[in-house]
Amino acid sequence: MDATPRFGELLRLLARHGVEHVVVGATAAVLAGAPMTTFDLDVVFAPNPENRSRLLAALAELDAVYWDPLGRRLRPDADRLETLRHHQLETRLGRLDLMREIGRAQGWPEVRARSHAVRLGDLTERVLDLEAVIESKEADNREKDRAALPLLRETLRLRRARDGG
Amino acid sequence: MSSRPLPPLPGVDPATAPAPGDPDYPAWVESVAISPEGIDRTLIWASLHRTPAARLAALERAVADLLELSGGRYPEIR
Repeated sequence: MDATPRFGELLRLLARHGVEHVVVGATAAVLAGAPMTTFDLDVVFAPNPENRSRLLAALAELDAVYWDPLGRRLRPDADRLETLRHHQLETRLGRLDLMREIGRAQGWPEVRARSHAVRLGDLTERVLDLEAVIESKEADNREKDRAALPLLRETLRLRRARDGG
Repeated sequence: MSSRPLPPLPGVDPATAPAPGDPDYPAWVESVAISPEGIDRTLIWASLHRTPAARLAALERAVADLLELSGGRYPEIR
């Protein structure tokens, strides 16, 4: 199922279904200018019932299943979207990580408030601010998060210098 | 591939920078281009002068290349 990621198409599909979401994690860092790679698109979604329904329709079109090393094809459903905090999915457009919160219990209101609009061609995406990406990595504090932090901090410093801050 | 000129890295004054061939040049390049943690600032600086759409397209190409190297196998760590 894993396909070569087409994150732009995946975001466009979410937008077409009207899914309220914010791009977070390493993809947000790349969009902010950090020269790094990630195999997954990380997204926080608004947890209200209407948005979950829209998300479920988008996931059906994406042929999404939970990532499972044993190869079982478990599909997201309304119950799982409501109760689980983290969904590691494979889709026909690449891997998608859906989250209810990031870092130190930063849920939808906090994530939305710390995001900004980014133009991607004809698409406008909400993307988590780089400062907040760094804070979430500091909070997660896994080995891979700690490894990424020097690059992210240097990117933030150079962004501020570029913008005259 | 051609690269367009970028503004100098922050803190770099082309008027006072040592010239290539100057004995101080390699150490100077390393001091301005590489952070104390070993991060290459020139890559970041170049990325910061691309559009977000160009960065996303570059990410997709980079991941596609890595997947070709791995025979299509994704990393287990997400």
